[in-house]
Order: sequence, then structure tokens, then C-alpha cells
Amino acid sequence: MTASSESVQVEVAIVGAGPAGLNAALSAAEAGAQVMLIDNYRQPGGQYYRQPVAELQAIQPTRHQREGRALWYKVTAAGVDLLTETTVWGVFEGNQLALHGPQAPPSIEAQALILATGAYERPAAFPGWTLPGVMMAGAAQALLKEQRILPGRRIVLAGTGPLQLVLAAELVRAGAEVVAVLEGSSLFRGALRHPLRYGFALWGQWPRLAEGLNSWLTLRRAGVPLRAGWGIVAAHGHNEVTEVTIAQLNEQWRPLSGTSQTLSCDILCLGYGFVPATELARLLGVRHEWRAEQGGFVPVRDERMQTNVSGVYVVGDGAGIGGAALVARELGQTQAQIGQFRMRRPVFPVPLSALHTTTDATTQPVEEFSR
Amino acid sequence: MRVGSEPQRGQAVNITVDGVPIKAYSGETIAGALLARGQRAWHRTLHGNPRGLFCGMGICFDCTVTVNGEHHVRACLTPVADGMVVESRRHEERSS
Repeated sequence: MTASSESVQVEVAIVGAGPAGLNAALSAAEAGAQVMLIDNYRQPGGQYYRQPVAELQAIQPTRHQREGRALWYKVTAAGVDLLTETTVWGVFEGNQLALHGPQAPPSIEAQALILATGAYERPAAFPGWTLPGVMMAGAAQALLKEQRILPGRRIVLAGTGPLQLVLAAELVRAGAEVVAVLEGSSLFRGALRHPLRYGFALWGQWPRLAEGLNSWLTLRRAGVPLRAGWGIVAAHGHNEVTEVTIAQLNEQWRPLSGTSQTLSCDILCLGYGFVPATELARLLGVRHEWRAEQGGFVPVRDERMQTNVSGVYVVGDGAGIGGAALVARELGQTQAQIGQFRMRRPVFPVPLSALHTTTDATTQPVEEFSR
Repeated sequence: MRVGSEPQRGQAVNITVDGVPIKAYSGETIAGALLARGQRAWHRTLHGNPRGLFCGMGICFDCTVTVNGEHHVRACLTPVADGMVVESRRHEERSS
């Protein structure tokens, strides 16, 4: 594909307006670059800073949402052009992005391209996993956070990690019946029964500890069963899910025979971790390597976050599901350079490991809870 | 199921889904409006299997619908608008 006459020229194009993309945009704009920031959603922020829709903004924003909005205003004030509701459906040689969206030009051509595409949830396949009503935990969370809508009334959560507890508590506060929370790892059994004894793991991280305990207390008060070492075996229903089969798992997360039970529900939320969204980087021929601990194949970058494709940079969770290690590494990149533009500030100061943290705006704000 | 009271929501809008009139609120997505009334399945695969909201963030394309004649529109990302005509893929089932 060659540049069409309708192609718009920019110095720096950034794909994804989550924490990584917003910070990269601010850095690039402050370094003097002309920046175009492109995002799929109606409002910038990504999953981490997910805002309620404009019509619901009378609702008291959470700390995260305020933080996200403040960053977004700074980005706007720095003169960054923001293109929302725009899907980047392809990318071609010469950093040419093919766009689709109500306000989008058909394509733009950038001198430097920063991919800040983030991550999506790792799907788990089992009999019945495609039935309507079976969804990613993030789908339920986004719906609640953005639109104040519950996907159903009787909800089962299956997966692993403390983010499940946070979501389960938010669903309870919003009025849903959480039938059970299934934690795949039996290692969490003690923590789920006596969280205070295990609180030392988060010693000093008071907001996280507070959120964890707050969620646990909410679930405890609502009588929600928290089962460690349990997982989903199958979902059943004709047109929509009506019940699920669960079972106790062995250390390899295989169901133990004779332990299966049936739970009735209308929604099953799955939360088995995250996968970096590397589609655009792979389309560009960026070299990737396998990093299981970062979610799978991740782009290889130099110390300036540039890939082997000249002028193509990757930042944030799209470069590997990070947690503390990634954040520390990218925080160290205060001298990152995008094209001829030298960044004066860190590209990525927010721990994305708290990716799907959300809060219930009708109750007290809760703080981030990282893995 | 909508959380909280209706006065906090946007303007009421009317859309039709496969000919059925549905009330929704400005700011909601098509998927949100359908789930709010308890409908979890709407899309059909080419083999006729039901689908609904899965990733909820524009990645999986399981929730696509036809909106005002435009095909393959993601219900999870697309906001409702008054008078919007939404069709699931039943027309493809009929023609196959």
C-alpha cells in the first residue's frame, strides 16, 4: 500500500491512550514533537484509568479516575492531537497507519511510531466457553466502571489473583449475587481464610492492603464462598449460560476426579491473566521473543525502547506484562529518545499490573491492588 | 441491570434490535443496553452458534452487530443513538 492523497503526516503517532500512551504523548509533546494520539475508545485512559461515560460523570470519580483525567488534561494542554473512537486496523511500511473511525482520516504517516497498545485478557478454553454469559472479568469490570451496568444477576468468578476479589466485591456492592469466587491456586487458601496473617506480603503498600482487606470483608459479609484450588470445568446452557461445572484442581490445575459440583449462574467471569497486544508490532516485522513471565511473545527493544524496525517504539504492557520489573526498567528510561526528540520525563510511571482495578463509585473509593 | 437511579443517566433514547424497540440511555453502548435488559446472546456465528459480550474491550469481535446497515460493528464499543437500527446476524442465517 502506498501513501494515499488523504494520508495525514505527523511527527509522532502513538497508538493507545492508556497510561503508557498518555505519558509517552506528554513526553514527546514536551520535547517539541507534533503528536497524534490514537485510541479505540470514546475517552482516553485505557483500562487502568477507565472513565465513566460523559453522561455519568456526575458520579464522584475515584482516585484513579481523577489521576487519569489530570494526565489527560496535561496531554491536551501540551498540544497533543487526540483521535478517539479510532481503530488502527493495519500498519504498513513507512509507519503508515490505516485507520477506521467516525473522525479518522483513512491513514496517517508518522516519522516515529510509538505502540502503547497494552494488553488483553488471556482467554481460557473449556467446554461451553463460547456461550453468551461467559465473559472476561475485564468485560464485566469495564461495563460497571464505564456505564454502571451489571452483566447479570448471579455471577461466578473463576481465575487467579487478587484482582478477582476486587471485582467480586465491586459486583456485590453494585447489587449482584456473587455465587462463588474460584481461585485456581491452592497457595492462596490460607490468605483467603486469614488475610491479616498474610498481609505482611503487602507491608508498606497500605492502599493495596486496604483495598484487599476491604474487598475481602465485603465478600465475607455477603457470604460469598472463596474457594482456593478450584477451577472451572465446563459451562452449560442452550443459548446462554445457565450453570457451570466446577472442580477442585491438583497442583497442575487439572480437575480432580470426584470433586465436581454444579453451580447455577447467568454470568461466568474469567480472570486468568493478561497477554500483551503485539499485533501491530508483529505486522511491522518487529522481532519478538518468548517471555512466559511477561505474558508470551514480547517485542525486543533497545535501551531507548526502540525495536529492530527503525522509528518503531513499544512502551507499556504491550511490551510485556510488567508488574514491578517492567515499571522499574521503564522508569529508568528518563533519557528515552523518540526519533530526534529527547524525552525529559519517564515514559511510563504507572504500574500497569493493576490493570483492571476499578472502584464502585457509590461506595468509598478504594485504592489500587497490584498482583 | 442498571446500577443506581435513572436521573443520574443520560437522555433516554430508543433503538430497535431485530425490530424490537428498546429503551436505553445516552452514553451506553449497544452491548450495555442489551445486557441491562437481561439479553446476553445476540450475535450468531456463520454456523448459527450464539455469541454475546466476551472481551468487552473491542478485541475479540464476538459481539458484532449490523448498525444502520453497517456490518461488523462492535456492540461493546458503539454508543447507542436515538433511532438506531441494530440487527444481529439472523439475515445471514436465513440466506445460508
